[in-house]
Amino acid sequence: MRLGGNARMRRRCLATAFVLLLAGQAAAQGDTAPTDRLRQAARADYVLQCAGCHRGDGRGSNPHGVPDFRQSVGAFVHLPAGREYLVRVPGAAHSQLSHAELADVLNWVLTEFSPAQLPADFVPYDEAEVAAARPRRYDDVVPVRHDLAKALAAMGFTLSDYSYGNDRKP
Amino acid sequence: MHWLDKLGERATRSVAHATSRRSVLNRIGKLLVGTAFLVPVLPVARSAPAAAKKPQTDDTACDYWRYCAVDGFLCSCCGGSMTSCPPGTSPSAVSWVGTCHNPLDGKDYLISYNDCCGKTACGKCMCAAAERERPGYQMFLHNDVNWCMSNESSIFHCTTSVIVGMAKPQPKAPAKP
Repeated sequence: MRLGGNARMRRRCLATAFVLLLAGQAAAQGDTAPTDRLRQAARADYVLQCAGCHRGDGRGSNPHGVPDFRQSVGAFVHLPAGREYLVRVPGAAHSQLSHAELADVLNWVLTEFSPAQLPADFVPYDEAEVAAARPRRYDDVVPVRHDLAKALAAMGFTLSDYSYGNDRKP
Repeated sequence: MHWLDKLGERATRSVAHATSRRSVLNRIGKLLVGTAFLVPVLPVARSAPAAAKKPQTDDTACDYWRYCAVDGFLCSCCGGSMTSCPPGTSPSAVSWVGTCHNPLDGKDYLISYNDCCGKTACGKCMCAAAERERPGYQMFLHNDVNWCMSNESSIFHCTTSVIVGMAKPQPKAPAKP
């Protein structure tokens, strides 16, 4: 069907109104860029799902087996097994977060608490990577963490202390 | 009934004598319009606003909005406040974090329920509004935990409710077909 001039005009007006509406909504959300909104959402997920133990500033509670994220957690990414560990560690893998949300939270944690330890060519986690690694549970996470600390130390990276299972340190 | 007829006739005639029919209609109309602004005359459900619950503003009451996921004695009843520990106690390092809706501004907030540790149980204002809590086998969503466990003294006294951020905006529920 051929549109008459009026109808075509009306359509264009509707489209313009729609664009203006979207722009208005973006403005209403505080003029924040999509990346800022993503980080705000990831922070909210972190606070709700992780910060109870890891605490708002990421310092954890080392004497009780909650390791400090600060100036440490980014080092894991230097090893493929370490990169995978951050997804498979029970606190992350068993959380209530979806694969996409977990990827966002991991990226937020790494860049917020440990940017200096990240490799220069750090590639952020995405949903597919999390989905692939997450279902593979560790039979026992403690030796995995201690082995990674040892391997990273050999590369010159110091992980924060992990006090749980001290007697099982290699 | 003769006297009643006469009384009625006299009254009607005196009204008719003193006023015009138009002025009577005029006055009745004015009266109706006037009262419409003072007293609602249309049949509206006036019980609706009365039924809506007024938000609780007393921070020593369990149904105060910030306590939506609290489980413990309120520090505001125990010599501390909603956000600070009573003298002689220290806040727990680890905590339970929940999401509460503030009816006063219509927004959702992340609330950290830090216990105050180091003195025996306060015993006043016990509240247990376990919103979004799950049984112990869903450990990450379970709040029957002594959050003083990581402090020097793990003796639980009371619980504070500290705002730690805005909740993630929830995606709008899909429209029902």
